[in-house]
Amino acid sequence: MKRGFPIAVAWLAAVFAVAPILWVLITSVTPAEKLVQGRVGAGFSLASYIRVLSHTEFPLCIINSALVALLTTLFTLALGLIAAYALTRFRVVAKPLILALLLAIPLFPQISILIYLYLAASRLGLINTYAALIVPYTALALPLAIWYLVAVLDDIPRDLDNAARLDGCAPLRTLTSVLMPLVLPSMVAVGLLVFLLSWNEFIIALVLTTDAKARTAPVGLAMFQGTHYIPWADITAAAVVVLLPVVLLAFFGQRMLVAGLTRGALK
Amino acid sequence: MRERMGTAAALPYLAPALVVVGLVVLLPLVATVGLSFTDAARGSAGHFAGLAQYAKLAGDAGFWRALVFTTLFAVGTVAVEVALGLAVAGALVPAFRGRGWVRVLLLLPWALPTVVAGRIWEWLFHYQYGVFNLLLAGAFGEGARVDWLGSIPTVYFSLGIADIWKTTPYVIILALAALLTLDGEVMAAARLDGARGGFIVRKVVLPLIAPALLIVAAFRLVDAFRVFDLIYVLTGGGPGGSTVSVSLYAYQQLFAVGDFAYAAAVATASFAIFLLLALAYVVVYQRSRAFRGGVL
Repeated sequence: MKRGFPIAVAWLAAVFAVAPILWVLITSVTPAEKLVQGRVGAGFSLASYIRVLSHTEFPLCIINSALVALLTTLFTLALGLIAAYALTRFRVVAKPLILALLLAIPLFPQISILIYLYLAASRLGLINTYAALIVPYTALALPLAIWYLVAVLDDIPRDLDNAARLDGCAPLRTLTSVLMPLVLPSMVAVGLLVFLLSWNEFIIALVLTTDAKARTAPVGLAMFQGTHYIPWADITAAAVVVLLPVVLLAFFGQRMLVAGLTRGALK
Repeated sequence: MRERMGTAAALPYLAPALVVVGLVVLLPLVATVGLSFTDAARGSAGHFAGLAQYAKLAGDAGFWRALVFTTLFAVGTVAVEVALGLAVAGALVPAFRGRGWVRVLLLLPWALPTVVAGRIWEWLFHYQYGVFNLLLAGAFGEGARVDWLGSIPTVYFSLGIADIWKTTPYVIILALAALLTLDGEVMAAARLDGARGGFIVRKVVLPLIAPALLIVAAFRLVDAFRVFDLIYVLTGGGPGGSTVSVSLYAYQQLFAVGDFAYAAAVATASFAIFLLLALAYVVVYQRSRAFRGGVL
């Protein structure tokens, strides 16, 4: 009893977490004519997936999201690493203040910058471009990467840098050839998190894309009407397509995601 | 060598990140505040209009309604999420068979896009085909169907459930990380002194993880205050504008109404709320630190 209760709580929570996802998965493979009868789970058909992936603009949204998230991740890691290097290997004035201000960036309401970003992007003709998404995504993800990498670089002894410098290594060279191999696992961890956040982002993409072909997957899904007489067959299929990479990431990258999340927040 | 390691030498390395952040965050923040002092609208560049937009804001019932709704939504969901998240995290501390699986499964709602979560719950709450109404109608007849998303106050409950489902895992992950850093020796010492389970939780565990819980609650609170995605997908602000959040209200002023300056004023107000919350957190944190004699 004493040990059984927490285990029951834990499993109950897990079932509550997964059941809605499973229900949507089952819905997505239920033939539309069965859905109309309210018989979710009766029969099996991949027709919804075929419709979504071949008769709509949704595949384009997936490609847009993948490219935007990938490029955001690369830029964030590159800029974040050299910034973290500067913050740990140089005596920067007001370092705690810089870090504290950075912490506020992923937290403040995006709407308070989005109106101007929309007006500026319209004027510059950047609406519906990858750049209009990648630049803001990078800015909002950078603090996360910097916090995490500052913590990691702080743990690496300075003797290593000094040895490299005595061997005639320039600072940038020290970073790329001496320190980077050591922080690579951490960069993968923070990279996964940044990829996930960019893949999931909604409001910025909603405001800065107007063309159905330029939308990201979450915006495409939010706008998705379905092409069939019961759109929910298609909507659930589209939802599963969007959450599939996330589920894979959660299963195979669990440790790194949790590390990225907790190290950034609690250190 | 030494003087080369100062701020000036660091600047080239910091510059790219600072430029991106300045361009995307600082400049738009300042420009939005500036815009809120004009009367710019779709098709008109606008002129300086002083505090006109803020006078309008003060008397705008729609804005106040959104502010009240957002506050209640944020406080209500975060209170439940922190309590629930802490309880589940506590249940995950002792090892048991399948704990690894439970932890992966609990990660899923947090990891997936909020839009997907919105679509999932929209389907579960669907009047005709949603699982809840299918069950209700099957058990008690057609009359038992509930208009989950289309009636007040049911819609508040439905939104709350969806948000709790989506974000409690975040609290669980961070609360569990805090619990796992606790020193087993402290617990063993308390037990040796004859302390019981409930007493240890209240007097030893909770005070020790209080700073971590405080920051998790603060993160959740500011995140709940800017809520947009879930509401956009699940209710669109309806029924009858009853679930319009502050962010959604600003968005509507921008696109549906086309009143750029007023949208900027609403957005500035939402940033001011964020600043107030951040300040409140710092004050509470400093107080609890002073109370503890600066140990933490």
